[in-house]
Formats: sequence, structure tokens, C-alpha cells
Amino acid sequence: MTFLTSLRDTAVVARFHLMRSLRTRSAVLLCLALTTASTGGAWVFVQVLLQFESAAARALGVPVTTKPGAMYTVLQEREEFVNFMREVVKSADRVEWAFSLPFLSVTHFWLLLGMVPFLAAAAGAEVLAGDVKDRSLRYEVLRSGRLEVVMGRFLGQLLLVFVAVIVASLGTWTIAMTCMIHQDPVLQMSSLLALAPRLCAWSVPFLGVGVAFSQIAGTMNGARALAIGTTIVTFVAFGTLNSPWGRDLRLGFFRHVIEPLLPQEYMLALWGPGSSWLLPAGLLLLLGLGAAVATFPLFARRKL
Amino acid sequence: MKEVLIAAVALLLGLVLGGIGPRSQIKVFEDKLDDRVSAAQNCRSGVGRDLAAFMGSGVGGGASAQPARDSPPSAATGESEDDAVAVVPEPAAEADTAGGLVVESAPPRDEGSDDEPEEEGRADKIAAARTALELRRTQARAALLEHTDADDEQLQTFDSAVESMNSVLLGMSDELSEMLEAGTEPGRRDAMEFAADALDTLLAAEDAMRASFDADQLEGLPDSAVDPFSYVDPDIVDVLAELEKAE
Repeated sequence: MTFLTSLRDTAVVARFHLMRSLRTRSAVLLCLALTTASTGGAWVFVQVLLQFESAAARALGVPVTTKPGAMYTVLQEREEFVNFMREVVKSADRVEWAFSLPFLSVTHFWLLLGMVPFLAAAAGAEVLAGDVKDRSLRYEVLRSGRLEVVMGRFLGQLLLVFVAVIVASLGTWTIAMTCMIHQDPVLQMSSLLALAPRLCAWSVPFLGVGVAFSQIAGTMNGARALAIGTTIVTFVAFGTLNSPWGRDLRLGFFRHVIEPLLPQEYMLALWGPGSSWLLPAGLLLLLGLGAAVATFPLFARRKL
Repeated sequence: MKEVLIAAVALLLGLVLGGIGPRSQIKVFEDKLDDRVSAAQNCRSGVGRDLAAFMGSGVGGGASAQPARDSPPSAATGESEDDAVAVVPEPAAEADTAGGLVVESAPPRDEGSDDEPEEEGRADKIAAARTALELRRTQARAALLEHTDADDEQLQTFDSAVESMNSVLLGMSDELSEMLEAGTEPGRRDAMEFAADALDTLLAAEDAMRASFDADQLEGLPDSAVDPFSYVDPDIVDVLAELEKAE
């Protein structure tokens, strides 16, 4: 099989996987889960903002509104408030960028930064495990190589996550338009769509972990449990290594090997203006590919 | 596909393994920096401070180092009480100096620098007042829109009432400011006339605001939504600040 044939086969498998997912309940479930999370989260943040604005309105002796957004829009433009936030966050350009975005775009990004890894890991675990278990995969690998099937499905699932992130953005946009005032619909939607590729890049390593376990697990639930468990472990490891206690641990060589392999190391770099997020996104893509092929030698020898 | 994956894995390995050296160097530098910071902190409260106190007493004739306990710090340092940033009872120093207090004096400041923090504080207060007025105006208008569901024509009438009120108030503030700048202190009668004019303007503005809407819209509308004070232009803060300065 030549290089180009291999790439073409991968693309065909990816397209087929995406189309099949969109037709079946897997796409619906993923979109529903992510949209519920983003819409619910947006609604909660709107309620929190409403409480703050109502308290401020009462303190200033002006009437309270049922929808928030008016006061936040004023504060976004006030330099002293931005300066205050700069002092808190200690990163001028990131704070300035955050205040240039609509409120719900900022909360949407940070909320999905926490949600996407788990959903991506679960989605990745579904890629092969089901078809291996019911032994239908053996017919698919007759016409293309196993590596092309794995990579094609990985790519297809990544495209599906992208679709789910876009659909989830619509949920947040709807909340912004219906539960808030003074929100520019075009700016709101464009900022949410601009954040979607970053969230997609963030999902890649966890999707890779899911695909890795999908190749070796006996059942889909087993693959899901292993993938979500590993995702939790990465968060715990990152938190431990970056805690005051963890920083004092004399891990030496191991620390320098483990840290760059944790996706969370690149998480904060995804937040920021311009194209600065592209480098961490590239590294996350490499991590995802690395994770996805980590178990391929076992899958290549597996009896289907 | 195999080639792409091999390249990706090789790049990843290169990044991880190639980064070990630079990362460990950074860690060494971070550790050194931490040591320096903690050493500096120790220096502030330990031997270094005693040495500084000793040097201070030698060079400055003991004025800033260890004043007597019963003399006030301001007298000992020759500075105002505000200039002495901390008066810390020091047990070790007490043993050595028969009950003295260690006074950390503020560094000498240029003449006129006392005004700078005051000026900064004033600017902060003015900015906060402007923000508060802007927040009031925006929130009141948002509440008004929410309760009345006003059409464009009504809003235009309302906005023109607010605009004319603010232009009159700003004109009056400017007039008062010019009087004070010219050194003319407004008398009792002048002040009463200013107050009466301002109240007339506010009352006329409220009438015009209310006239923008029909009875159904005004019913259930919170009173503060048509309170003229809620719509005062934040620019007036600048004029009032100038007035305060002129006084």
C-alpha cells in the first residue's frame, strides 16, 4: 500500500465514520451531552451575573432587571475595572482579550475546557470497541489496513467532536440571546465559533486515549471506564505536580518526562489573543496521535 | 499513514526527550530564585535588619534607628507619623538596647511627592464616581426598556429630555466652575438660585420623561427608572471635581 493510498483510505474511513455517526444515535448523544452541559452552564453563569448585577443595582438605587448584561457591558469598557482584573490575573493581554469577548463566550470556553476531556475520552472509547466485540470490524479490515481503520475512525470521531462543539455553541448563543441583554448576536456567535477549534484541539489527546483503549478493551464500557479513568489520572497528576507540595517532590528526570506528556500543561496556553494558541494546539495534536497509536501494536496482532 | 504516524511519534519523543535538558535548567534557576527570595525575606527580619539598624545609627546619628521607647516615633525620626511605615516591637532588640523599638523609616521622598498619592487617590475616586454614574444610567435605561417596551419614537423623546437636562446641568456646573476660578465666591443668594435652577431642570426633565410614555407603560414602572438623577451624565463628575479643586 502506497503512502497516498493509505492517506486516501484513512480519509474514506473518516468520512464513512462521521456519516454513520451522524445517522446513528452516537452523534445525537454526543451533541446532546455537550449542548446540555454548555447550555446549562451558560444558564447558571447568567443567573450568577444576574445576582451580582441585582445587588449592584440595589446598592446604586436603580431598578433591577430580570435579564443581566447591561452593567457588565459598562464594566467591560471601563479601564479601571480592566486594570483591577489585570492585577488579579497578572496577565495583561489575556485579561484584555477576555474583556473584548462577550461574557458567555468566556464562560463557555472555560466550562467546556473542563467538560470536553471526559466526553472526548468516552467518545474515543466507542470508536472500535463495539465493532470488535460484535466482530463486524473483520469485514472492514479486508479492504483497508488496520492502521488506516484506526486513524480514519480517530479522525472521523474528531470531526464529530468538532460538530458537537459547534452545536454546543448554538446552545450558549441561544442563552445569550434570550436570557441576557445588550448582547451583539454576530459578535457572540463569531467569538463562540472562533473558540471552537481551540476546544477541538484540547479534545484530541483525550480522544486519543479513548481510541487507544478502544483497540485493546474487550467491551465498550470497559474501554470507556479505562479512558475516563486515565483522563482523571492526568488531571490529578497535573494538579499534584503543580501544587506547592508536588513542586517540592524530588522527581528529577521523571518530572521532566511526565510533565510534557500531560495535556493540561498546554491548557492555559490555548487561552489568549491572536494565533498564540496554534503551537499548543499542534502539541496537543501530537499527543493525541501518540496516545492513539500507543496500543496499535497490540491491536495489529489482535484476532478480530 | 504509517510514515505520518512515525513522524508524529518521533516529533513527540524529540520534544519530550529534547526538552529534558532545558526543563531541568529552568528548574535549577527556579530553585535558585526561590532560595534568593527566601534569603531576602529572612534578611528583612533577621541579622540584616539589625546590621542596617546599626549602620543607620552610626551614619545618621541614631536618629532613625532606635528611638527611646517613651519618645514618640515621629519625634525620634524627625518625620511625621505617617512617614514611619512600621513600628515593630523587637524582643531581641529590647534585650540589647534596654527596651527600644525598632523603627523602619520610609525612604526619603522628594518635596511635593506627598501630593502624588493624594492626587492618585482623587483620580481613583473620580473614576469610581464616573463608573457608578455610568452603571446607574445604563441599568436604569435597561430597566425602563424592559418595563415599558417603548417604541423608537418614545425612546427618542425620552433621550432628548435626558439630553437637554444634562446639557443644562453641565452648563450650570461650568458657570459655577468659572466663577470659582475667577476667585468669586458665590454668596448665599447665588447658591440658592443655583439650587433652585437645578431642581427646576430636574423636575422639568422628569415631567418630559414621564410624558414620553402612556399611562399603561408607566403603571408598574419602578419610580427610580424615571428618576432624573439616574440619568445624570458622568461628565458632570469632572466639572464637580474641578470645583472641588478650585475650593
